[in-house]
Amino acid sequence: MICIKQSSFLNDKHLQVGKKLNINSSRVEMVEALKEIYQGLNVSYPKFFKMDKMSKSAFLAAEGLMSCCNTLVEKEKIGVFLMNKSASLDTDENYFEKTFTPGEIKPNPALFVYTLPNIMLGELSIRHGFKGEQAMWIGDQFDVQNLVNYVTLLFEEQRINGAIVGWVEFYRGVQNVFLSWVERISDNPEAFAEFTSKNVESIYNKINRV
Amino acid sequence: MSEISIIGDNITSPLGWTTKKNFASLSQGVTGLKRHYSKSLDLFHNSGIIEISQSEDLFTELGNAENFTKLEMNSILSIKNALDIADIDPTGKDVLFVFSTTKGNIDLLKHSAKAKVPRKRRFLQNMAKAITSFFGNKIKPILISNACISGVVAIITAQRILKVGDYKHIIVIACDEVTDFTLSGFNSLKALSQEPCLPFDAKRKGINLGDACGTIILSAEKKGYPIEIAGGASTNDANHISGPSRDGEGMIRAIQQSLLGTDVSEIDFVSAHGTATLFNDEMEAKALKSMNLHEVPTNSFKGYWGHTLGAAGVIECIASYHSILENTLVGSIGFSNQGTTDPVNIIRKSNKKTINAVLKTASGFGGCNASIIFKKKAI
Repeated sequence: MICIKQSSFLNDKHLQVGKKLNINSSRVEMVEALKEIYQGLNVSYPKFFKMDKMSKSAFLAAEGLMSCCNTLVEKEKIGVFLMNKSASLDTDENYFEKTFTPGEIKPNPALFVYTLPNIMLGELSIRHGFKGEQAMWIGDQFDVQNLVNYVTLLFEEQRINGAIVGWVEFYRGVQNVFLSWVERISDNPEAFAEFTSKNVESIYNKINRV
Repeated sequence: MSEISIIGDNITSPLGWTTKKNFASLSQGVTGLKRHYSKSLDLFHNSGIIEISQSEDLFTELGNAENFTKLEMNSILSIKNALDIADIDPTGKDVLFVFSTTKGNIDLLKHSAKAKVPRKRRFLQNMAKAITSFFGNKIKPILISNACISGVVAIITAQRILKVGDYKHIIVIACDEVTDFTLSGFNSLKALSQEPCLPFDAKRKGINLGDACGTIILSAEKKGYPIEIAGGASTNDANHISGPSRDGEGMIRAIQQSLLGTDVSEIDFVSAHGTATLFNDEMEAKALKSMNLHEVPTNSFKGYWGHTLGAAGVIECIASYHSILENTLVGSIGFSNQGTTDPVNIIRKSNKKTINAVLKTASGFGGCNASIIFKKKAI
């Protein structure tokens, strides 16, 4: 059976992982709030400070999520499937402004690298060692039905045994992150919800209203 | 489970507006890359650029060019041509569009962009909607933006979705273009060569960029080319965000996963990613060596089109299975001397040969790799 073992949610001041973890920030400035949540997680990962804001957001939500999930799935069989609305436009616009302001062409290679939305998949993969299938989808809304169908097929074909599936949106200071850890399990004593589009949608809607 | 067929395709590039035109140039060793100059970057670059006036001329027969960006016009022209070949109705509820692009309409950030094109089409899904509505398709498209493996992933995704059974036909459209945005970035990373790119060569210095759109129409219903997609997979190196792994481990796994159901000895042609950066080609050569594919004739199409980013996977896949159909091994432009630690069997000049199975590889920023296998269908 393929189950949703845990979900995490992050907005500009608040990281929540089920009933297991709750970190709030009092900072108004986005970068400061992200930093405070990072400190609240008690991790040391200097690469965090080099990331753009969207990757930072994805990192924090995944960090909280994976700290609450003990998984034995082999890394080669873990997939990452994310979706968002604005691709990497927040960083694209930042890069564009810095590079093409008249009189000062100074392209910053460290920033340019983040002008691709799948870089955050790379960041999560490096941090957690995820090495399996991956996809970055773009759409107006979280296309739960198509994405869940797609990921389920990969489970059925035995290509993956675990996956992070979610929505990581970041544009002009508006942030919305929802990640689920999904795993194939043989028995289900803890009564985890089955990985269906209906269940993913209901968890996503519930935590989005908090 | 129904069999998946390829029923139509198109390559739109500086080499021409159809697959046929493009493949003819490839067979004759004609490149679409030329020296250009970017005024705003004060930079000479060797790129494949489709003149917007040409796109507009051709597009006028279909619609009002003022309302579309060059990228959108080229995409529409590409889809239109592939639809003519496939002979299907794109308005059907069982027809899905799958898009592949890395930067879409990023040029809309410029003040000089066309006034009549709404700036909100810088969002990829709005660009996609402008294109699907042009064809009267109302199904919400799937849009993949996974760096330089996007195109290969889009084809694999479409094939998988067709297997689920909700759709009859899937139109895979991949597009990207040369912009000051991407030129400046790759140049700042010292990954851009101002001279013609030299994949796998000892003197290679980096990539060239190129404009391109590619369309592949897959069907669970109609019979098309005698070609099957025999396997495909994506992986992550989990190693570095902007450089490939040194040992090619992620690429090796991607190849292994796509070989499920195919014996490695069946592969008689490899179309490599071959970007002509030091690190990519070195990594790919390692991966091919450890898969025992280093003696199989191999090329990179980058010397013809440059690196077309999100379009690369799709146009190079089309050229790969047309190599099977045309019994032609296409020579790799820009290769003189082995330039990788592990030697690869690079095709120097196009030649006629029976090909039964081709392996196409891709890798990209974010540590991602993908591979796909096309085979001649047993008749």
